[in-house]
Order: sequence, then C-alpha cells, then structure tokens
Amino acid sequence: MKLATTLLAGLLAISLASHGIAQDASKPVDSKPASAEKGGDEAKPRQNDRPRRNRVREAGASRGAEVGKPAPEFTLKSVDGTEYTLAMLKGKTVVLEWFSPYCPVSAGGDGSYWGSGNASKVLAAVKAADADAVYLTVNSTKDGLDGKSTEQNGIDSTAAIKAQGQSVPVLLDADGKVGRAYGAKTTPHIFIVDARGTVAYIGAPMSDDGATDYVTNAVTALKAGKPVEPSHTKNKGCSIKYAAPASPETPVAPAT
Amino acid sequence: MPSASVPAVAKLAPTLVTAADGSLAIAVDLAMLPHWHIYWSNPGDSGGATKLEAVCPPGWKVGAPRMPRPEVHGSSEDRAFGWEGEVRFLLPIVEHPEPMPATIAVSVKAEWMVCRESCLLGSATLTGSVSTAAVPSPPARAYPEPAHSTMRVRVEEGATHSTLVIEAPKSLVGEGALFVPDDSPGVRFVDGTGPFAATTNETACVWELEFEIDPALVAGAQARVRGLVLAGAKINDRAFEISQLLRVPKVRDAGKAP
Repeated sequence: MKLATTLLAGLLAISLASHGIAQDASKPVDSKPASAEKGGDEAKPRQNDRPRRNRVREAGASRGAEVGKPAPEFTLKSVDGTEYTLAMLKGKTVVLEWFSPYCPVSAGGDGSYWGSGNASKVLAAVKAADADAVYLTVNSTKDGLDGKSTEQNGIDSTAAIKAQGQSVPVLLDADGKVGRAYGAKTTPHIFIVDARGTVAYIGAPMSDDGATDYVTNAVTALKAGKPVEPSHTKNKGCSIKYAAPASPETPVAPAT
Repeated sequence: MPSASVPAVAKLAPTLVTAADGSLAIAVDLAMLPHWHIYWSNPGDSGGATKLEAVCPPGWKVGAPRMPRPEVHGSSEDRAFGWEGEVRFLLPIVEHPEPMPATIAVSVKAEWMVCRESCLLGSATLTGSVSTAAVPSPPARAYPEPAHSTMRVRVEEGATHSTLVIEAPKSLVGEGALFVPDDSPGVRFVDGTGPFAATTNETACVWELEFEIDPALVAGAQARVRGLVLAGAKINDRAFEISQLLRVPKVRDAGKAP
C-alpha cells in the first residue's frame, strides 16, 4: 500500500514552483488558509489523504511495532528456562524493555538506567500504578558478541538486575526475531502493550533529565482507560547487536 | 591519543579559529580509533548526542556548538549519524571584549558516546589559556550553512499530521542529496529516522516529509522541525540547515492516541 502510494505520488508529480515559499525561520507556522497569505512560511491546510508527490524513504528498514496496532506475538524463554508468550499475558499491561548488561546507557555501569537506580524507581512506580502490570526485559544481543555467549549474557543480565535488588525476567532473543519484529533499536528501548494486546507506547523509559517517567505515565493512563500521552518518545542508547537475519526461505513453487 | 580503553579523546585547540564564514570560535577536536564513531545532535536509531558547553570569563559569550555535517553510518536497520576519525567542533564567540586580550581562559565540558560494536560513554573538561590570535580552521569537513536564500521550505498542516516540504535547486545539491532530521523535541517523522532521499523534477530535488507534533514533548513554548540537506556524500560537500518554526497544537489530534 505504501509502495503503491509512493508510486502514485511519483506519477502525479506536480511542480512546486507555483506555490513554493522561501524559507524564513523567524515566523511561526499558523493555520491560516493559504489564500489569505501573501508569502512567508505559514503552513497551508492540506488533505492528508492527498497522494504525496514524491516522498521517498531510503529503502530497507521495516517499521516494526506501531502504536495503536496489535503487538507482535512472541514466544521466548527466560534465563531460568520459563517460557513466556504475549498471548499468556493478555488482559494485563505488559512492559517490554530491551536490555543489555554491557551497555552504559542500559545496565552497564553506575550511570546507566539500571545502575543509577532509575529502573528500580520505575518498577516501583509501575507496580503502584497497576499491580497486575508485567515488566519483562528482553536481551536480543547475538551469541558470541565480544566473546560472550548468550548464556553468559543472560547470567550477566540477571546479575545486573539482582544487583539493584530486583527480580525481573530476562527473556533471551539471541536470533533477534522478536527484537526485529518490534523494531527494537537500542538498549534501553521500551514497548508497552495494553491489556488487549495493542501497542500503546514506544520509546525511552524516562526523559533525558530523568524528570519524566514515561513508563509509569503510560501504565497509569492505561489503568485509567485514558490515552497514553506521549505515546512515542525518542529512545537512545546502544544499538542492539543483532544476529544476521536468517536467509529467506526458498520459495515453494505452487502445486500443479 | 585514543587507545583501546579510551577510543575517543578530546582536545582544546590552542588558538581561537576563524571559520569559513569568518566567524571566530573556540575549537575542540575529538579523535577516535579507526572504526569507532561518535554521534551528531540527532544520533539516529541509536547512540547518544555529543554535547559541548563552554565557560568563558566575563565579557565573553559563546553560542551553541557548530557541528560539522554528519556522516551516515550503519545499515537500514540501524542508522547512525555522526563521525569517524577526527572531528572538530566550533564554539562560536558571539561577544568579546574590545580590545581582545592576547589570551582567554576557557573551560569546555564535552560529553560523548563512542561506539564500535560495544559503546562507551566519554567526557572531558578541557581547560586552558587559548590564544586570541586566531588561525583559519582547516576546512576538512563542511559545516552547515543557512538555507534561507537557496531553498524553498514550507510546512503544510493536515488533520492528523503536517508535512515539511523542501525544494532545493539541483544545481546546488545534486541528485543524491539527502535530508537528515535533526533533534527536534516533540517532532516525530512518520517514516522514521531517515535519511530521506529526494525525488527530482527538472530543476529541483524535493522532499515531502510527514511528521507529527506531540505537544507533551515540546520543550518550551516553541517547536521547530529541523534538519540538514546534505549535498553530495563527501564530508566536505555542502550542507544546509532547515529550521522551521511550528504552531504547536493545544490538543492532541484525533486519531493519534491509541
């Protein structure tokens, strides 16, 4: 659909020259109709369903999970061997945090989200907001990165969480399928799934200055049946070192 | 010198420098081991922005850091905007005493995240007496220049999102030009991190980029949609700053919330 829209947009290319406006960064955008303006950089009302002329995104990246859409199903085992599926958690708010014990933003060191104690504060606040909410960490690091096996990575992950006095399952996703399905990019990277299995929040656990706890905000809103605002924030942290994706299966010829 | 345990090292230049546009600046150089990189103000899909802050004596005022145009690293799965090798940051002098003394006591705090496969956080407080006998800064990398007179830029507002439209003359940017979004609190491009390629007509490269504004995340009263148009792929090819002031909606647009 997206591709079709882009192609259509290309076919319907219209010169911008007739209504291009020179940039003037000093003026705010407002919603006055275009016809009322003689110039400047004011916004012009538009129909969002109008075919876009030529927007192109560099090809490649999949979108992953999207707010308002069903969360990708998963089956993953935790470090202790317990199997978790998203289906079995239906009816509960689920917080998924992509995690690395070696990343200085996630859990590697005193200044990290976990090492600073911020994660513990968020966990306590989430439980206070909704006692039934489930908080899971996911480790999608490939096997053998920096000489560490997935097993060792899992042990180190559990130890980093335990060092903060917490007990949170660490789900292992060494082939990266679940991380890719969600579009997880960094550690940390938070995805919150509501009780119906719909993605409600994607982004950072907290604001850069630590003043806003986006995770608890979202869990509290969901518990109250309110919209999650903000539903997206900019995540930052170490990139997830995924295993190379499996080769696509050889297409099977249709039966004749 | 950078080493395996400290893969990025920052250094304060001993003299003020004059940038290509003639402005005066304090220069901070960051050198990295091969294959390691640090990040631009919008790091991309991952990473953390490089930050610099200068403290100068009374009578001196330093503006926001000027970063050279970023390189685009990584795969489509993990785009990083930043630099490898050596990179110079400029802290523009916007006020100084007259006549200028021969030296200025400067303190610059620098913070960065440096990554290869693994990542490390780095920081340094660089202090020193910097000569005001300015020397030209070597133009190894291009620094973004304003796009005011060279491009046509506007924002179109829609019911659920807005669209940033940029029209850049082909003669200026070439057909391979990219738009890289900069850090714009409260602004989220619908198609993700970028970079975004242009389509072209006879005379121009054109971008139409949809974005959403989240009032809950706008810092202060004003929001801007910001980014760079990168002409060419080389580190010394020109880059143009786009910075468009936005009207921030008071209520969330229908259909955005889950």
